[in-house]
Amino acid sequence: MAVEKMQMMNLVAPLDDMNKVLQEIVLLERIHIKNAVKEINESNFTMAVLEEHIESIADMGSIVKYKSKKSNLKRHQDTLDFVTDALDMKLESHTDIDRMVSLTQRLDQLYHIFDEVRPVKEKLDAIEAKLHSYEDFLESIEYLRGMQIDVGSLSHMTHFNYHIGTLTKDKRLKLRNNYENISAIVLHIGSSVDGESYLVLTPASLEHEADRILKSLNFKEIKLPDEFEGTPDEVYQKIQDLIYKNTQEKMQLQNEILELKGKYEYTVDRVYSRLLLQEQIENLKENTAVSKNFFYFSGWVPKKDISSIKQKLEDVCSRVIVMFAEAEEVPKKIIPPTQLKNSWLLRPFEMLVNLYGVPNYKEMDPTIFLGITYLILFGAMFGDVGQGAVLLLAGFLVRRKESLRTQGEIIIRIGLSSVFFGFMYGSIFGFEEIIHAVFVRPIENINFILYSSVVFGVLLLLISFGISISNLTHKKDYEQAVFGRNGVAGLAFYIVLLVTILQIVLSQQIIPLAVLLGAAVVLMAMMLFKRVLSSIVFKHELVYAEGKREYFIEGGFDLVETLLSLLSNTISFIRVGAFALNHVGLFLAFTTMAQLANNRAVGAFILILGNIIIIALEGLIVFIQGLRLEYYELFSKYFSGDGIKYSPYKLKLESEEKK
Amino acid sequence: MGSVTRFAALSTKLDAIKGQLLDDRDYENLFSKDSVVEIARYLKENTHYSDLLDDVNVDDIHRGDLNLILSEKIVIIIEKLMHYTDSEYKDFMKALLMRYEVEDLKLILRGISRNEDLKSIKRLFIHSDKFSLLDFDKLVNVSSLEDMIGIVKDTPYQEAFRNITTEDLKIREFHAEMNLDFIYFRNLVKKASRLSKEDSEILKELIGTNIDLINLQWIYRAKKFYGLMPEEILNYTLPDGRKYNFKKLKELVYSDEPREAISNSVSKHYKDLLAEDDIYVERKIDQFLNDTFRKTDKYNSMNIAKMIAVIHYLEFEIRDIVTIIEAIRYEIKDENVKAFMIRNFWE
Repeated sequence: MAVEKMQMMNLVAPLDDMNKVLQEIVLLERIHIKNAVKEINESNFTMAVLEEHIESIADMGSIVKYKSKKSNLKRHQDTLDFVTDALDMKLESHTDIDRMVSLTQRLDQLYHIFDEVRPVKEKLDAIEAKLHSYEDFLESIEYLRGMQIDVGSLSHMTHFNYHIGTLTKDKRLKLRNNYENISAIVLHIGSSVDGESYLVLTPASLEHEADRILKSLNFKEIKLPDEFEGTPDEVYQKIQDLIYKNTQEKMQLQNEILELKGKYEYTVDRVYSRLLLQEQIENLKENTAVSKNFFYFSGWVPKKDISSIKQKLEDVCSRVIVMFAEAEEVPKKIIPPTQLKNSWLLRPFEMLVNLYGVPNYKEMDPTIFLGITYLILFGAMFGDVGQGAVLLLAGFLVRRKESLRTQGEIIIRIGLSSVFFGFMYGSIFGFEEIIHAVFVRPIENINFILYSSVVFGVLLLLISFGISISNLTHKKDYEQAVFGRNGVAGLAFYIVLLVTILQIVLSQQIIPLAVLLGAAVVLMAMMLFKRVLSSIVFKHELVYAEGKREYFIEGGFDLVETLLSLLSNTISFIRVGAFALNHVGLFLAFTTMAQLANNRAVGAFILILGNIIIIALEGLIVFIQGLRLEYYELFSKYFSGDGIKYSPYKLKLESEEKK
Repeated sequence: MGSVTRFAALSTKLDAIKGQLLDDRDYENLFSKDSVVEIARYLKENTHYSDLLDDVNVDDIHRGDLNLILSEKIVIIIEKLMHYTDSEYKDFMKALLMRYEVEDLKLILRGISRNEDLKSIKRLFIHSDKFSLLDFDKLVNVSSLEDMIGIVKDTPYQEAFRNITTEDLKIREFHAEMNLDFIYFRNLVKKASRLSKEDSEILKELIGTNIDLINLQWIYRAKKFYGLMPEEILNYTLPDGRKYNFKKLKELVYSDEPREAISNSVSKHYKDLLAEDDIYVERKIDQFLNDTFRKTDKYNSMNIAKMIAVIHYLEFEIRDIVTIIEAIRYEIKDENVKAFMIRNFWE
């Protein structure tokens, strides 16, 4: 239930071992990358100077960014693409890379496979092209069938030339509108996928002109193969035979491809993983700094993993130097990445937190607070055994889809909460008569429900103040922690405000109004002059970064806003009760309509429809309203969300997986 | 959707772009510069081109490089404007972007016909990477026309390559180019017709005018310089012209004196285009379009005219800057440069 502790890892190793070490780093999948050159320039590269390290430190004088050479890789990837395309494979990456097999060996395998696959694939392509042309030809000769002429003799004409081919619609119109100027006979012989087919006969003496006109018409000629003789019908038959023969051959080649696929699929996958690894290593190299003999590298790792990481890296390279620094030792401006760690119950709610912002490494993980309160808020607003159970089921369905897993988990949990509150309220599918209410029936106790939701809201706001003060203290921002609107002063002001209102509502006076008013004025003054006060109390120099006048103008407005927002934040929680009532009211409307229907079937239909609408519409609204309370009323008090997500380097990056 | 909801944001954005265009003072300043470097520096420090030139070292910039950098602006602006449009309007904008892809395809075709290394022309590309219909990485790796045809297969450009041969690239460069233009305009007209009634009417006129001008120019050139047969010329003309339908084009094509035939046939609408020498024809045409846009733009704010106009203002502005840069090279001075520019300085 917290933010995972991180340590900064700095690593130095001989250049000769670069590939080995980086390979291990990719395969470990635990390291969040930082750019080493930047680190060294900003002098965050903490190095415990030990006798044995002297050599490497001395060498650090001229450090440059590593320039990776990815172009070689491109060629291998293209080859791999050809092979996978030819074998019609879907590549899968495997992280269990066999370290004993080197990249060179894998590439040898790849090119060996390539040499075997290529001739087959090329033959297959050639046959497919041939088949395609036969089919085109078949289509155009189709229209000549029945004619008693010899196709062979067409091409032996001396005074006339012929063309068979297709025209597109636009050009056909042009031809038609200009027939009188064309010195050729144009016969429409049919249509094909490529456009309308025409037979064009021109006198041989005008061949040149005809060619140019056809060219300008974008006429796509279909060449009659010379080898055929006989009437169109006979040629048609011959071509069909050829198509049959070639199809047989094609199928045989396809079988060969299938065989090759079965034989090499495993190896190709391995080659792919290896290449992927190499690509990532090259990417990593861009984040390393190199000097003459060594390379430098830094990243963040979870504290619990440091000994195993160190061990693994030292296993692959005996001369590697790995050092770790606590997050607190690293200069303030470098923000460690945040990895949230939560229990099974609350983990899905990390998504809702990240939707707002990734928690800063130094602040409290709000997931636990958000998770628990969100469950209560949702359940309280949407308490129904039956409808909650429907949500629960829906959650299980949604969860089955891998990409919606977390969303499904959330729906399951809020569904459970809804069921729980359903028992509390005694409501099942909107019916209030079937089960006994364990706690209270909202519609019968309207005032109680509304008051208690505001009281619950006050409770949450008070907790929020507590978290905020703790966060600000952790960040060592004492000015805000003590005098800020979300600090102790703000909290005290809020309590004064609450007591005042409570006394007015109950028309009792325990603390005199004047005392409360005085306290409020003092607290407001503290908030307004927080900069001055903190410079006195914490003994540091008084600076107005934005200018003195601006500071006080802004501070003045801030006070008014603080007062208003405290009130509105509190009242805002009344919606929790309102929605609980609304839930009952909405169903009441449907029950009334069902009764009006005066027909059992129609009535039942209306009630079912009502339930569907309530689950879909009200469910959505309550979901959003709950989120709104969390984000706007509570997060704005204590959560900054300006952290960086911990995303360790992986063989296949998450963003790529989604593609 | 009403025109206000559709165009309110777009119109504001367009006003912002329009406001940034160079004014007379900028042009006067540019005229006073003596070198490409000075012009580049002026553009970088004083104009909306600063975003493009931001990380360019202008002190050793070459003429060609500057021209290239400037020409990137239009596609960037169109891509930006696309954020303010949706559905059919977005499709129409995509159709507009195809023009730059067509220009790049022409570059590749020329490269193939001249056996150039296609990778070297890669830097000349101006198409939008985001909305490209083609795999240009593959296209610059082709070694023959056949390879290229394989790559454009199953794209809208396929049709332009129906019957093209390597020989055509050499002796009939216009064949592929006219076919590509044909595809671009046909698609543009089609996409324009799907917009709201008001907008599609406006575009029909604007695109139709553009097509008329291209056709007239084509017929004139084809007859005078290329020596093509009338049938060929006619077959390459673009449909959907505004004042010139197929029948009128046919009359022009089969007349013996094209210049005379054109001047006899033009409606009042295009009269202004005729007076000049041949070298000014292109400029006249652009000026004519510019004026047309200004007229349409003036009376319409909540329709597509404004967007088309602003995109073209920008394009003409870039062409004018290029003209100024060229003028430095050929040492042409002030008033003479203005004669080659699209912007009208005598208004």
